[in-house]
Amino acid sequence: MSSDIFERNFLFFNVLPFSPGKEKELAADAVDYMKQTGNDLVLYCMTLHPQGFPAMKKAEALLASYRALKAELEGTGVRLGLLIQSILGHWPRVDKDEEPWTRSVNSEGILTRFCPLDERYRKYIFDVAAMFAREKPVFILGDDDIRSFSQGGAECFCELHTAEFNRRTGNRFTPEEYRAAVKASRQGDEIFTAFDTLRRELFNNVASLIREAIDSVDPSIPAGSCMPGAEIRFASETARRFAAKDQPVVMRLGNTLYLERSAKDFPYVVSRTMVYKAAHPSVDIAMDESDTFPHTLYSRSSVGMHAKLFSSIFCGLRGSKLWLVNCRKMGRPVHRNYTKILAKYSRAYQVLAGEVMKTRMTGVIIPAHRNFPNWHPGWGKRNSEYFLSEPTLGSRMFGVLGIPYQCKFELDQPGVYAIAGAQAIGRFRDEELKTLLSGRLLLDGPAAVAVCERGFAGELGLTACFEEFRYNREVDPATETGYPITKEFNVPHFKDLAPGAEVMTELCYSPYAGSPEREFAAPGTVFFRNALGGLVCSTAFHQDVSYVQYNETRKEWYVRILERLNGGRLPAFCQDLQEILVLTRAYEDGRVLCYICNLNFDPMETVTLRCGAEPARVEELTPEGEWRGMPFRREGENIVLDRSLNCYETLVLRLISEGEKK
Amino acid sequence: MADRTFAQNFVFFDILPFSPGEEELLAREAVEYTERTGNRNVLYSLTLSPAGFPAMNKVLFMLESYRKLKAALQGTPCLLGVLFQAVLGHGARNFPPPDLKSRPVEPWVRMVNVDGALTRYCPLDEGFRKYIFDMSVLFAKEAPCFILGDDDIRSFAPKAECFCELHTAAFNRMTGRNFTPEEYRQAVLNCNRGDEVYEAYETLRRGIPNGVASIIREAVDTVDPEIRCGSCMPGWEFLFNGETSKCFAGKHPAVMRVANANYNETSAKHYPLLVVKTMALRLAHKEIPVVLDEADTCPHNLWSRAAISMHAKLVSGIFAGLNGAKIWYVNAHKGGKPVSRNYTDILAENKGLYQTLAAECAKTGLAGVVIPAHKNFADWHAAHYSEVARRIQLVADDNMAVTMLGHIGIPFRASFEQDEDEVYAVSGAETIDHLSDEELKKLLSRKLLLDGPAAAAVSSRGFSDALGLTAEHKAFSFNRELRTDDGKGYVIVQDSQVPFFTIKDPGAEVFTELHYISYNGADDDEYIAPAAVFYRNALGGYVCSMVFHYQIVYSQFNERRKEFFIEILERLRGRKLPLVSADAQNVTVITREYPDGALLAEACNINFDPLRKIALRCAKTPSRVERLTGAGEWIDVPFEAKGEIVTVEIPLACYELAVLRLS
Repeated sequence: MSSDIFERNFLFFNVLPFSPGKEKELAADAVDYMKQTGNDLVLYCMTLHPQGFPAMKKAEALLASYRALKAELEGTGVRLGLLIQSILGHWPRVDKDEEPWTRSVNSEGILTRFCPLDERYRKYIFDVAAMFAREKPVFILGDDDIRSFSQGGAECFCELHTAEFNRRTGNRFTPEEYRAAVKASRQGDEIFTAFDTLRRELFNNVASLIREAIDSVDPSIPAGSCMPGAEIRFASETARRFAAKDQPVVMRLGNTLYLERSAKDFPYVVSRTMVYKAAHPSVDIAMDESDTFPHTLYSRSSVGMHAKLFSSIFCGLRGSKLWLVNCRKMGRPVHRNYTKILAKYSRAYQVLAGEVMKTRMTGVIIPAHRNFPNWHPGWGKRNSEYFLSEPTLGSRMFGVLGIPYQCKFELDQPGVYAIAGAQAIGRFRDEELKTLLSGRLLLDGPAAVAVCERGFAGELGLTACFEEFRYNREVDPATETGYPITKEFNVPHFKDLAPGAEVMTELCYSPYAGSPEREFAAPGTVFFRNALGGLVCSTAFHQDVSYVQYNETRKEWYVRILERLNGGRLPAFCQDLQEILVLTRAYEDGRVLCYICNLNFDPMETVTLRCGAEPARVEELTPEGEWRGMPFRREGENIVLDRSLNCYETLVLRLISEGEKK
Repeated sequence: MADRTFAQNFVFFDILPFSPGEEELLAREAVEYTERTGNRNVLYSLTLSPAGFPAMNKVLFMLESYRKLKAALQGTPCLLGVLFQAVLGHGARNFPPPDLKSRPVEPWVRMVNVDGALTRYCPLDEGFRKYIFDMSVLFAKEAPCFILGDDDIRSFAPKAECFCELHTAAFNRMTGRNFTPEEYRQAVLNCNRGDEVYEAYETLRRGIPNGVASIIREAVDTVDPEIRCGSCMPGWEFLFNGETSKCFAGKHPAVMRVANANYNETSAKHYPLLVVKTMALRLAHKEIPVVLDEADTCPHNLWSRAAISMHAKLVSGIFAGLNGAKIWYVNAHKGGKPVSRNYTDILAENKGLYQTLAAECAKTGLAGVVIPAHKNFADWHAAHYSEVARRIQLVADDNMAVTMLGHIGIPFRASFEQDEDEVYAVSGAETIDHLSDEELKKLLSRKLLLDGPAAAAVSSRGFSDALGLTAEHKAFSFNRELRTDDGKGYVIVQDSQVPFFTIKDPGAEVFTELHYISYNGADDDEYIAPAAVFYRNALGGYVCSMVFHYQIVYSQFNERRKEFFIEILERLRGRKLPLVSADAQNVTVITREYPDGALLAEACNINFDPLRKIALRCAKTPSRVERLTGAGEWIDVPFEAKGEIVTVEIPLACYELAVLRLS
């Protein structure tokens, strides 16, 4: 039977700092947290990877503190669980006295953590997990040290792993030969495949071992995992191994944003959240990594934490792992701004999560991929391949222009797809490209060149290539509208237009501003309906053209293109001329759920939206979780909401047109 | 006319976009700008680098537009001047494309840069010199309120110039050599600073911008010597742009816009770097009487630069001693669209503040922990500037204002002087590397705080005795930093750049120590090494060396570490810091001191979380706290004093600031 902790629309697990000798104070903080925020789930942070000698001494010391905290929380309503903050260890901590267990060896030949193939270490893991399971924690969460990367290299090349590899493959490698063979291997060959299987087993088997230990005490204790950044493709298997039988699979995504610098980067985080969620459909409860590490406002503002929480709920996440909210660190209270903002929006989180379940994500589609041709676990830090080839048009452009977007793996969905850059094209196989080209597709200059180089120029109705040509203007000849552009090498030259290709803008050359002379240089924006049935727009412009990425006319240009591809108006976008992130979801009856976040330092005094269907009613989700009608006025084709938004502040709206008005 | 242009304490020059055919609209917008902001000076942006053929066609075309604008502004309060937005050209962009070779161009000599690429027209060519002279005369005849040369008047495009035949001949004349242009270029590429070749080249290189400025001045003087002119400092020429501005100025006080732009902004947390760089730029040219802020919002929209941050930079620029700003397209149109009126609004809301603040700054001196600046660029070479770009900073990018003080609300200031009666603070090895032994000795004879890498750099230079310890980089383990007096800890983690300290003199006072413990809560604590050490040295200095540095992962900012810095700084200075932010989030505080000890302070919230009120820790509880309003008036603000903490009921949103006077 599923635990009742999963009954809420959105779960918060607040991690409590290890506080030996101060459990009473910690419990008081946790009770206060619950009273203020309504969230009753807390996880005691236990750093359980072996340290000191004997290792079990530390585990027992931690257990004693856990029990003391448990006793303090008895009868308070706060439900105590456990964060196994480490079991393998996030990095080797120069232990001076250590167990004589086999150490892992990474792909750089560095001795790292203890190897979980060592039976003695396995027994330690089992015993520790069983020991804590006996305390009946409300939930056990394994942290993201349960991975196979440490100190910049993949694990493991110890003697035990080498022996296991040899047993499976019939080789007779020494550990050093094994390591060299893996580094020299190629995707798909026997060595690569056998190593990668062992590598994944390294952490998945740790999860299984912990589950087995828990089951030996109480199979109903729910558990989950935290996605490590280096295991974005494989992490859900670990979560499944952790999950109790017949209970939801729970995984915290690796979508953190601490040590924040700029709100303008926020769309990148949102894109990551979307794509991680989509990459792991078998996970029932995907959780936000709401960590503010190292738990000060210097690292993460509360307003930024909240903006991310709202956006993650919008992307379909159903929980959050918070850190040290309302607690103390080094004897000092962690900033109460975090508590306050969680308390303020406690109802809104639940209501929004409920609304999200009734809706589907909408917006321009940024296609994600599962092709990692260059990924090699033995190559350590060079493994920088992700599901999206950033910067995408979503993260870089639409996410700050106020145009809703979404990330999807499916390539054949209704809607407009948008691709920027050659690398993104390179991730798609020919068949996948054909699928994309048979739909409605926007390609920027470098992407158009890459498509042509793959032999699909016919589908674009033009040839796009990089060659020297001079231009300094982009103009729509029909309206004489100029779009700011500067000379840039990666702006391709479009030529050999097919009959039927429609030119929306042209690149031109003019000797100086105001000069009456203007010479045509090349097409700039071209639409083409191809033989695959697709409608493709290729643009010479791309998002790296210096100083001209963001401006009002370029925003209008994007909207024109997208709406022409869409065959109708976008459901909603923001008309304000500053960095603003807008996400949308659609109800079955056509209503629009809309998330808006001001990413600019300048406060917005009003919010201006242009909607596909003019709304008859606009409702705002209040912090109390109520939908409150919001007055608005019409200005031309826009609606203007008299609602101010400060930097990083969010707004969730429901837009209801006449036919849908309830 | 000239007096009216510079009549304010803080002078704004608003650049108007070149708008042929739309001069009436532009004039209306300029008038509205003046009415709203009180700023009268507007400069018409004219890109006068030769383009098309004959080049003078473009000049005449622009002159015509200028005249129309001038006529449209006749009788309005606006004072019209001209920005020579390009004379040499910011790049070589305006030459016709290779595929349009049929287009005629002026037959003037083109410059050659250090890569051997043809770039702009060479101002040694008599034809081009005549062009510059003639077009300057044309505009001078329009009696502009001011002529500002832009930062294309430089010797980089984008690499160092010039190795054309004319410059080669000049070089040969100077040095008695007989180089071909290619031999000259190779000689410069392969020479060292101090060599005859380098010095002669450098003189010629500087002669490019200075020579152009002199031609323009000469031309203006033939029409009306009363017309004032100034320069805009290019990024790579901040060491000698003062000369260029003097060439422009002629008999008048020099006017120079410094190169301190911050467009395409990303983070408010960048603010301390902007502030300290502006301070250093101002001080590097203290003989220039009028120095303008580069308040450019290029490309002139909120995506690039918010109005609130433009304002914050203006205010910090005034605090740094600037007395004007070059702003772009405020209240104007661009590409047929109005530039965001947020810029107009904020300038209008604060029009009094800028003027009053500039006047107050004139009565006060910058106060705060000293970030040492320098002008020693022994390893910088114009021909290799991109490879050694980092080496030509007046203050290192990782100086302590940027890495710590500017975030935790401890006032700081840059200084080129080495005898200030205040604590000097150095983070990182770069600043130490730039100092000569003599300069280093002077610094060590002062009150000085060194972070780990800086201490290791001092030690490796042979000055361990002045620290009372040796600081060396070696592998060792630690995971705690504990005070020697009460055993309380500071967050620190293992880091390879944390140096190992060995005490050399028993007189050294150990403030904190590094320790190792198996795990949190274990009972096997072990002493490893000193971590923060005070030492009174034979040079008369009082130095604190700390192993801590800002790159220790996840340990940079926290409340305890902030207190650590305050305690160390106050022990070094022997008395309390006059004013420190008491808020536990990123706040930049800049202070100036009146002769009577009263403080002028800017507090700017550079965190996303709004501050509900400003909390300050004051050495002396003020009897009065005043806030400078946007109208430029001082108003008393209620405050609460509890112990040392003074709380002022002023909320600050992200990037918002308050200017206070504490008496």
